[in-house]
Amino acid sequence: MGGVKKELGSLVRSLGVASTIALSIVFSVFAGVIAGYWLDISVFDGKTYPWLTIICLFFGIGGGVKNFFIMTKRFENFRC
Amino acid sequence: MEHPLLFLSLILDALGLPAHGGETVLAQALAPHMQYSYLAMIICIALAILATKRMEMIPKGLQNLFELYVNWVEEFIDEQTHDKRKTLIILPVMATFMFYILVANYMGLIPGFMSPTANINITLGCTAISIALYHLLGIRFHGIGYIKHFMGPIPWMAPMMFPIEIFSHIGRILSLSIRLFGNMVSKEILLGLLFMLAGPYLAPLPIMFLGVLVCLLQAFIFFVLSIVYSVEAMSEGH
Repeated sequence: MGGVKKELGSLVRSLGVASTIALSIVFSVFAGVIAGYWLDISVFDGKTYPWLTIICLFFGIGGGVKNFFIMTKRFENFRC
Repeated sequence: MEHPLLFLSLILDALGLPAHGGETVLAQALAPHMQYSYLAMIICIALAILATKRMEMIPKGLQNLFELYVNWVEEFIDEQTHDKRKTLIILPVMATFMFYILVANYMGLIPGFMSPTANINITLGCTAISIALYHLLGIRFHGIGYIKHFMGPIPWMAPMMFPIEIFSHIGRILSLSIRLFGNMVSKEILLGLLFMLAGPYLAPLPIMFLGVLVCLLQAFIFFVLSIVYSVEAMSEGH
């Protein structure tokens, strides 16, 4: 019984870790695209339209990868 | 969909107060998610007062439970910081986050109550506290040198790293708040749909079971992520 309980605990914890890492990447990319689109449309009146969106998309992807590295480094310490 | 039955809203209605949201400040302060947030706070504070009212050398009952909890949180944070001083700085906030969110999440499983965390305003508020906390801790531990955390390891890459870091921090805000909110609200919507479509008896039971797991998991994740970000801000830069 103890083994099952331990396994369930580790399963729940790794579920949490997996969903956390995935979502942090997704939202970072999303923040990049939204910020770039806002800059293009509202600040520069659509004159620069696709470019700032694309540049900020890449910044967002970079931020996602950075979050990913931080989390994998930290989650290694947990007793999964 | 029918309006859900909420006990606290009924009580406030009977008192003649605006209990279903609105434009005025009073109506917004007494909106349903705010009422249940106050209730969660009252439960947390009441349990804490009850547990510490009669302290004994050999703990029993509620005091024993709370000592176990605080001890677990302290050991958990200590594994990340490896520094007793840093642990004691963030321990009260983190223990409160976990406890409050746990109470708030589980409240939604009782009929007649709702989860305050199923509203974006509550989770965004918790996230704002967490984010402001780790930036303030970073400034406290490193002073103006905290900006080095945003500059990356190599000096000539700093102009490129700075926007990347900004977006990674915006991503943290979004992921912390929307994850908790999304999980709780999806559970409530799914339960409501099943009640309507499949009848009130055994059909929503699997979702209820999943809900019990998700409530614990989301509170734990919020707690872990707040700790990870704070430790990251307090540690030495690149």
